[in-house]
Amino acid sequence: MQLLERRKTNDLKSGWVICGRREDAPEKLMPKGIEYSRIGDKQASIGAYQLMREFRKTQRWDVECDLFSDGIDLIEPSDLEEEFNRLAETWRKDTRMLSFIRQKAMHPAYQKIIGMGKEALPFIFRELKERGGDWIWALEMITRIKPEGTQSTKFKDVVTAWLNWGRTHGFTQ
Amino acid sequence: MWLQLGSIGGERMDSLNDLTDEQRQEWFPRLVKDSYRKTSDATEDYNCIAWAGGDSERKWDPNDTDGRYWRTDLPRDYEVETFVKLFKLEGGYEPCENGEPEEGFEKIAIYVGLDKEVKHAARQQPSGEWTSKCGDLEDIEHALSVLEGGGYGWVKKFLKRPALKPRQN
Repeated sequence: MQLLERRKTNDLKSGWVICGRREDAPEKLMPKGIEYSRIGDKQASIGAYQLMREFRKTQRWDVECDLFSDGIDLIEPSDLEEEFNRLAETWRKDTRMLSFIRQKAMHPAYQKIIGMGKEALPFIFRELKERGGDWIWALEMITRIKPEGTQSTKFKDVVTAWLNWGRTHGFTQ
Repeated sequence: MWLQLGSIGGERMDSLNDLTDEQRQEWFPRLVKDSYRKTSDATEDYNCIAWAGGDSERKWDPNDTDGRYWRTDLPRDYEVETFVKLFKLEGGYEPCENGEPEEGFEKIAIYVGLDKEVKHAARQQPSGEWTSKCGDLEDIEHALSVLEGGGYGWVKKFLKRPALKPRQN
């Protein structure tokens, strides 16, 4: 199987998942179905993307890191990211003068982001890392976990703990 | 790294100056250019309630989401009386009649919205002016009335205590 195309994610302004498998990538480690996606094929790309996410869950990070950096490039469906960006910007603008998380989290844009589920996690971690924001409620709602270090009364300590968790699980660098 | 995301657009809006006219009208209809003085940059480390109580490292919030402080002996609600108890337990504040400066006393003003829930708190400076942390935005010095009439509601409660402890500003 040959690699269909390899591009840096931030070069891509529109389109869908681009993935393929390099000829020398170890076949036994590739999830079946990934090799069938192609540029411009929305359904196949989304299918491949979902397969990839499922595959990731079953792999140890050190294995998948090697595998994915050697074998394929994967790009998020761009419309999901655009939708997240739009919602996050609206939420940030409308709630920046509020002091309590309950008020902030009840904003419709924030609720829609929570409704995106785990697909929103890479974007939330990117936002948390680059621009800040009170994303703790959303992270707790989506992941249903409280990682080590997050049971602090200091907001900045909790943000640090979540970013560590995000790094460990491949959602942010 | 197999999953790389580009940066997003949009500039960071972290000042009262960045509010749209619509937001200003809705939230701070009495806030005009010379009615307040910015005293710090924006930060998310603490909120208005903590700032009024003298804590610039935590958010004081009844919600049990991680990253906020609340006393375990207080209900997790937004009733005025809950916040009166909070400031009494945390700083020894007692209810008082008004926000007029009193020699030897420090005061706190609690803002309450139309839904009767606490929205904001401010602390009086020795000068008689008030200091507030506005959400995720900056700290400002202002007259009490400047933040009234919009999203923060109206000042419904004053508290005071003897000015014994040095303040951090």
